[in-house]
Amino acid sequence: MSLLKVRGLEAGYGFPVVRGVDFDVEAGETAVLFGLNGAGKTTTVSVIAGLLRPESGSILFDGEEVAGRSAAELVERGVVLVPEGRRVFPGLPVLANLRLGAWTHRRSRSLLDERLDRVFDYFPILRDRASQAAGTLSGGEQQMLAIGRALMSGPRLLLLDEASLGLSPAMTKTVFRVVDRINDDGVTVLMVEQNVGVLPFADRVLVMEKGSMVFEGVGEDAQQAHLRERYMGGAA
Amino acid sequence: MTPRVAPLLALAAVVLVLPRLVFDSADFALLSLAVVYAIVGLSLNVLIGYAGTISLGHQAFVGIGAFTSAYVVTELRQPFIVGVLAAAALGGAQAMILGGLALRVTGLYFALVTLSYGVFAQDTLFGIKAITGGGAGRAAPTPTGDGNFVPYYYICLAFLGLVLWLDWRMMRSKTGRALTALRQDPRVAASLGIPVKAYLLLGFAVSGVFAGIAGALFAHGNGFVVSNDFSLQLGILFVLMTVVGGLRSRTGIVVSAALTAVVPLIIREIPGLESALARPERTVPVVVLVAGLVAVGVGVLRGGRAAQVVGVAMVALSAAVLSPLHVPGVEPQLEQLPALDPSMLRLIVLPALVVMTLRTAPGGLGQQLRPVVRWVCGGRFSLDAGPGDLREVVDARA
Amino acid sequence: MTAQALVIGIITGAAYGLVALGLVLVYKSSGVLNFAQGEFGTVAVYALWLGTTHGIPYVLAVLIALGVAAVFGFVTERVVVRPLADAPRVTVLVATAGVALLAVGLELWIGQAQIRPIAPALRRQDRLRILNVYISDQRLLIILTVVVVALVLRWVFTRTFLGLAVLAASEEPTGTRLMGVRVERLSSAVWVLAALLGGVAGVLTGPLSGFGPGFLTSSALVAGFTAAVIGGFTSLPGAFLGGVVVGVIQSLATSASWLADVPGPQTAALFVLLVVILLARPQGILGRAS
Ligand SMILES: Nc1ncnc2c1ncn2[C@@H]1O[C@H](COP(=O)(O)OP(=O)(O)OP(=O)(O)O)[C@@H](O)[C@H]1O
Ligand SMILES: [Mg+2]
Repeated sequence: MSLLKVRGLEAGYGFPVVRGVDFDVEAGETAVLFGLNGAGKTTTVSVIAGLLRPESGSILFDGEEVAGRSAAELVERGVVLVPEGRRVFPGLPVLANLRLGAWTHRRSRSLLDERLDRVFDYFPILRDRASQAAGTLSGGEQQMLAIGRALMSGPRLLLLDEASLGLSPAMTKTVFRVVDRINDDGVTVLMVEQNVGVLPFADRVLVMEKGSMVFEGVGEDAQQAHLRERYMGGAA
Repeated sequence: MTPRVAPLLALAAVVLVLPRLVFDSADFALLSLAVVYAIVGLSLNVLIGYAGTISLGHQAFVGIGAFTSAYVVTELRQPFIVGVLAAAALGGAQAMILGGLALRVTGLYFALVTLSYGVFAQDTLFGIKAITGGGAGRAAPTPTGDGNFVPYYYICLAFLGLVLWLDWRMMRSKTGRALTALRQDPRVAASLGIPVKAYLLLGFAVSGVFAGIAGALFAHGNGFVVSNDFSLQLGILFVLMTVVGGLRSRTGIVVSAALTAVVPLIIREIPGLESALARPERTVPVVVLVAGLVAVGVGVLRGGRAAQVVGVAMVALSAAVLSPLHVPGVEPQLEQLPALDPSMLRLIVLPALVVMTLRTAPGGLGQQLRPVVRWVCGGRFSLDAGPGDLREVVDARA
Repeated sequence: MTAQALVIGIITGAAYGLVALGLVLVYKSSGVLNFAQGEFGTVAVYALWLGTTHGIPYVLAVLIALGVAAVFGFVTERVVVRPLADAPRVTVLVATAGVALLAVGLELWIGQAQIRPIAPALRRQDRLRILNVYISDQRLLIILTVVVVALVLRWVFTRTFLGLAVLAASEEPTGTRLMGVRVERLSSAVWVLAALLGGVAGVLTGPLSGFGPGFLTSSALVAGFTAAVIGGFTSLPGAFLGGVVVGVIQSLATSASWLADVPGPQTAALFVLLVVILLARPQGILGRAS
């Protein structure tokens, strides 16, 4: 059964942006959502994460209808978004940022320490920067912090919106590798990306265009040449 | 576009002739006050609306004008017009000093400075006995003779006309464009070569001059000035009436300020309202009932659970009070509710209007009046008010 | 003489500190300068007065008064602050000033334009005497309250998840929401807490020299803001210390012979103090430069 099942999703900001989108993400896989600027990718993941109410449509998470639920309810169920632009808490130290990530489990100190160790294992540099204000981190470090912070809540579905934005090629590769490790450790991942470097890690590829899903491919299909033509070729 | 003559004549008739027909000569004191408030609103608009800088101490601006003119007329034995000119000059000068501070202290902190300045003026400046008469106050004779307010009203109108004309000229000149640029983004304005500091000071000066004039007119309309006339409450009232009028909208501000001043007349002219206010134990539950019903309605339409709960509670409460089956012991206390007088009503209604304005119609009254104003100015009448220019109480300098 | 002024200043400053704490709490969590903070307190005093004059026992009346303040704070957040969450901060300031004016209007109506006496919680006047200044038990209670509140709030903000979430929400509401924090509820809680603090300030200081419409606004709002500025507007112990500084300076200004001819020396001192601080050290005496 799919972990995430989206059907007929419509959303917008007083005007339609996402117009009837259907797709699935299976448990344990890494899905990547491509699309030109303004295609509605951020809007789609915002709706799934509970930041924006959908106009209509259904979002089943683990078989349960979650469309229109608040972000807090979704985090409690294990859906966590690393937003576009990271949105770390600039004035707070790295450690405080991470602790806040575990808000839904704030009563359990042992769980907190255990999760913290895991995050530091994925991103060792965060341990060195633990007491530095997040706003003074480099862009790459901030991205790691944003992902680490999201992991603190113990997500089952991790949504990443343009994690590679503004990162150097080397840093991008590092981030993709860690996300792959996170996925291997059992977290289902849905990434919004512009960077084709992510393709080797993708189990499923989705392409949006003007608010509609125009391509959905799994496994071999996902790596097909016509996808490159259609999206990556068009973008260049 | 050439202005339409007929509606302008009608407007002139309403302002110039109608009051003579409807009101007693005694009411003209209040009508003069309405004109004074309109000038105060325009003065505040220069700061908040044009320069993008808040002032919560405008009662001090007005008070300085009032005491200056009173002093010049009674102590220095100068004619009324000299008093007004002196008030305008001193009003502008003190505003420029405050403007100098605004160059260094911006945004919310400057709001605090103006707040503190207003209270300081009331307690300290207006307490200087030699000039203001201390707590006892100072006489400010009405130039048209004691209690003869009808001609005084027309004098005030003339000054309002002058202020409106100055404001209109200023906004059509380079100054207006510079102020607009500096409100929207001081840094961009500076990079465009606009001397930001000079124009900000100019904005303060103009605002101070307007307020000084208003203060002088206030003093001589009152016959007497005391420092307690210029409380923080009044300063907040000024800001609220300006925001409700709609920043950058001369028409809206004049209407809203004038209405704020003449609340007592309005109440007297609406049949039954006066007696209703005298018996709040009957009227307040009715108001609560209606407000509760509205809250429930809004809550149902917008899906707000809190609004529904509060609304139902309000309806239940007021219904219980209004129902003939009184709870024993409740009624005698309700009978004791004090009467609501116009000044209290003003303090209650205006904030409610401000919250409504800020939440739903940031363009204020001016935005609503825009179609009419455009039509009078010679444009085509259309209910689409068009984009108001930046409809917010913005402080780009914050 | 000066030492005496110092003692008096510290006593009065404690009340300012209490108001300042409420101001700082709201500013820290939402960046709003809350002009209604004083009225949260005045409304509570009026509730206390209505309660005690209708035969409700003092302690119960105090609890009811604090409840009224809390409801007032809750409604203010819901009706005024939350819908303006994305508006410029100056807009919200104007709106809270409107709330303050509304409260004054209601107080004028209920209580008329009169200064009224009200019983203090503690009546004894002469238990403590320092440098010839008698300090009433009510004053001691105020000092104790402000110190405890400052320390507790500081603890909340530095040591608890809740305080951390409030700080985070003020910096980055969307990011906070994505952590599973119910940001709206947090905002309600902060305003209710601030209103409770205002209510405590009102109930404790109202009896000192009587109360009238808008009494806490006129007696302590400007001083509270100045105290908060001295504390850098984010430091909670700083707000308390700022209150003491303001109280002492006012008290020195009142007793200084060279200022004897200046009318309203306390207000004048306040204005000069605020301007000097903002010009010399905009980040406050205790605040960190950002
Ligand atoms: N808060 C908003 N208010 C109004 N319109 C918005 C808002 N956010 C996005 N839009 C509009 O919705 C459309 C889709 O935006 P969205 O951010 O979902 O695109 P995207 O696919 O994520 O693009 P990008 O790759 O540039 O991030 C755009 O036309 C955008 O202008
Ligand atoms: Mg996007």
